[in-house]
Amino acid sequence: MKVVKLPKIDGDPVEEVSKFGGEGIKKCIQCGACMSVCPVAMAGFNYPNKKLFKLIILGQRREILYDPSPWACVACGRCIEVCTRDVNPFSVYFAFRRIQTREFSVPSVAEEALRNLYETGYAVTGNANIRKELGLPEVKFALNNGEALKEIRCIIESTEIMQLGILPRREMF
Amino acid sequence: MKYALYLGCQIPFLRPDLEVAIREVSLALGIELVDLEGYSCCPTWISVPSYDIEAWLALSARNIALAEEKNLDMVVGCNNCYSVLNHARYMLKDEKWREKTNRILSKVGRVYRGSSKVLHIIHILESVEKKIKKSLKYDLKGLTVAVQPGCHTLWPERVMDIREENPFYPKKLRELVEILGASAPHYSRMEFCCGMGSMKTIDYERSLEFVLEKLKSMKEEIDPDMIVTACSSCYIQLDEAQQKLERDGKIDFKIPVFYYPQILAVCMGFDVSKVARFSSIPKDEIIRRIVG
Repeated sequence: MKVVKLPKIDGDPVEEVSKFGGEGIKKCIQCGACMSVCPVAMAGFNYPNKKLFKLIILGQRREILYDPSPWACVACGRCIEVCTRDVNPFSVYFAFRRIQTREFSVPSVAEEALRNLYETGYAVTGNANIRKELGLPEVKFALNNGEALKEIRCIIESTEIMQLGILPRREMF
Repeated sequence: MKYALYLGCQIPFLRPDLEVAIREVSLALGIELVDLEGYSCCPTWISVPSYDIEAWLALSARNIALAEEKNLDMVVGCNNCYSVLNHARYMLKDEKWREKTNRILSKVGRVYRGSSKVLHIIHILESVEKKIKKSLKYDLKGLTVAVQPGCHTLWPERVMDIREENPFYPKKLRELVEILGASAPHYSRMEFCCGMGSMKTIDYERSLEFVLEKLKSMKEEIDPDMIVTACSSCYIQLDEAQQKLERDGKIDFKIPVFYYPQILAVCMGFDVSKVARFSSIPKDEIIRRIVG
C-alpha cells in the first residue's frame, strides 16, 4: 500500500474547525451521504461538504481558505438528517465560515449583513411607509427602540466579532 | 390560543402583505398574537451565526427570552427565523452554551430559561383545521396546487418540536391546502430547495437553476394553477425568479405563488388588495377564479 504524507503547513485545521463548532468532522468517513443531498453540490460549487472535509482532514487549509463554497450553504439541514456518523456537516460548513471571517475571507453580502445588524438590529431593512397604507401597526422593532438597540450592540460587543475589523468601535455609554 | 408574534425582518420590511394575512387569519380564527417589543434579527444565517457562535446564541436567546418574559410560546412566519431560533434552542440545551449565553445576557439584564417553544404559523393553523373549514367563504375546488414546504421546517428534525412523519415526503402543507378544497398532488421535486438563502446572494444564476428544476417538474407532472408555500423566502424566490427565467427564455409559462396564510386569507374573504398586494407574477386572474 502506498501512503502519501502531506506536510501540515497550517497547523491542524481539524482542531481549528472543532474549536469553531465543527467537532463532528473527526467522525467523518467520507461516505458522501451529505454530498448526495447538498444544494451546494447540486449547484456545482467547488468544495461541497464531503470534498471540503477531506481537504480539512488532509490539512490543505490554504486550498480552501478563499473559496466561497461554504457560504453557499443554505442551512437546509438535509445533511444533518442523512449523515451516517452524526458529523453534523452543516456545522462544519459554518465552522469554516467562522475561520474564513478571521482571515478576511468574507463575501461582501455577509459583511453588509453584519454591519446592518449592528447599526439597526436587522440584517434586512426596508421601507416602513407602506405599512401605514396597509393599516399595519408600527412594529416594535429594536430599530425604533434605543434601549433594545443598546442591548443588541452590547451583546455583539461582548464577543470576538469586535476583533474582526468589520464593525466600528463605539464608545459605550 | 395565545402566542408571542415574532415577525423577523423579511415579512414586515419586504412583504408586509404577508403580515396582514397572518394577522387577519389569526384574529378571525381566535388565535391571539402578542407583538414582542424590541426584538432583533433572529440573527439570520449569513449574518452573526457565520461569524461567532456565542454572539449568535446570545442574540437568539434574547429574542426567545422576550417571549419567555410573557410566558408565551413564540410563533414565527419566516422559515429562516424558525431554523435559526430552533437550532439555537437545541444548542442551548447544552449546559456549556447556556452558561456562556446567560453570562452575556446578564450584561443586558436578560436571562434565557428555555421555557418557550418556537413554532411556525402553519403549525398553529394546523391545530385549528376544523375552524378553518368553517370559516371559508370561497374554496379552491377544481384547482391544482403545487406545494412548496420549504427546507427549514423539515430538517433537521432533532431541533424541532413539531415534526413530519417523514420529512423527505412531507404531508402537512398538502393537507392544509386540501382543506381549502384544492388537490395538492405530490411531484418529484417537491421537497427540493428553492435556491434562496445565501446561495442566492453568492451566485444568483446558480440559485435560479433550483427554481427552474422545480418549475419544470411541477409543470410536467401536475400542471398546477398555483404554487403554495409555507416559507416567506421560497415565496419571494419562486415569485421573482419566474420573471427572470422567462426573460432568459428558459420558461414559457408563469405560475402565481401564494404564501399559505395569504391564500387562506383570500379564501376567508379578506381584502385582496391588502393581503396579496405585492407580486412579480400577477395573481389577479387566479384570484378572480376563486372569488368570482
